[in-house]
Amino acid sequence: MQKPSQVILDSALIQPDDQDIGLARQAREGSRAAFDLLFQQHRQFVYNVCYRMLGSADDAVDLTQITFIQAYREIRRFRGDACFRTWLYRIAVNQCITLMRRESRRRRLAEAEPVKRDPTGDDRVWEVILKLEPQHRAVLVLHYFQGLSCIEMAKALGCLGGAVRTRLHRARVAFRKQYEEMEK
Amino acid sequence: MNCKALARIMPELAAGELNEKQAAEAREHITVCSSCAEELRSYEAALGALSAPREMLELPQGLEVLNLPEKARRPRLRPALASVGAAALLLAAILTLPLFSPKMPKTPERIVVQQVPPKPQIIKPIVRSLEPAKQQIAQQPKHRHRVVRKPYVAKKPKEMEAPAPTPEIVIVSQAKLSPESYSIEIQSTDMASGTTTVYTQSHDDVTGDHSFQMQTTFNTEDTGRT
Repeated sequence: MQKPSQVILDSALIQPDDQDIGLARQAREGSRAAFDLLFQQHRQFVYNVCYRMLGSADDAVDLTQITFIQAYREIRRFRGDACFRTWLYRIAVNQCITLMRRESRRRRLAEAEPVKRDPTGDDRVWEVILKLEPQHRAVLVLHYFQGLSCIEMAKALGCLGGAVRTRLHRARVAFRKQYEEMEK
Repeated sequence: MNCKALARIMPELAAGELNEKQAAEAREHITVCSSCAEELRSYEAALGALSAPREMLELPQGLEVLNLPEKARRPRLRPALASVGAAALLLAAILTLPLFSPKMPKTPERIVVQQVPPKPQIIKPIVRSLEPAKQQIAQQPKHRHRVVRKPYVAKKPKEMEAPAPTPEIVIVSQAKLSPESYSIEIQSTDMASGTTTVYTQSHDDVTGDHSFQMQTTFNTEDTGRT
């Protein structure tokens, strides 16, 4: 079985980056330039998570901005125990889940939206992922698209490792069920 | 391993996350179970498509700079400053409280007749002294579990009352005046009380006369009772 390809990209997530922690400390003391540097370094990762979860480029841009704005507001809460990017993922996933729940109520009354296209992969996979529940979508995106391990996902999602493994198991079962139906 | 147990770990088996022992047991079951083998192939196809390599998405327009709004950071008072502010607010509220309280109308002057209150009756409180209780507590043994036994004292036998002394009876005189008459005088003396009683009896068969006299004399004074 092929492992997720983005593992190489996010391989340094477990150990906190000293540079990020230093920049976060400066931002906590009021340095706007330090936070801009953090934004430049991590905006693409946050955007990818938001896009994979929402399936909309415009929403992903907005959510990325909102994620960094909230991170700037709550920078005092970043203790440096985990990687700064993991902390950003947590904010982004929570924002995406909140937006999806809000949008799901609105979209029930609206017409069915056209199938979104995945610019970098299989459209069927993309379509199936967008049918899953937000929690299942989050673990699949973080694990398969962003390459996070269960330990990193536990930090990003704010739960224990066992809970993440259970959630990942259920997400795989749900994905396979939807994928099989689409194949038929 | 049976089908039910394998179904629980099928996604992990397809993802290659089981350890060697579990994977070997699962593969062994799959070789003999066609339905599980078919399900495993379905999982491998789905998760294989999910884990296909993907590139990072390029950044669209709108993320060149971070659009932080004015006063994005939440102002936070220092704890000391916040406590001082709270104290000031509380003090101001206390000082301005009379301004907001409803004003009472002025009462007109009245002639007040003072009544002499009755003299209060002084009732002495009943105070029980604690000294007896304290003494009783002090007399109790300190070790409650220790059994204090009283020394055995043999009971004295009850003293038998001395038997009343038998009165001393003396026949003072005895005379047979005729074959048909007699006379006798007996003196009885009680030693305890010192009383002396004299009995005199005479009898005559011819005449049928019979007389009996008793004269008692006490030791203190002679009452002369007969």
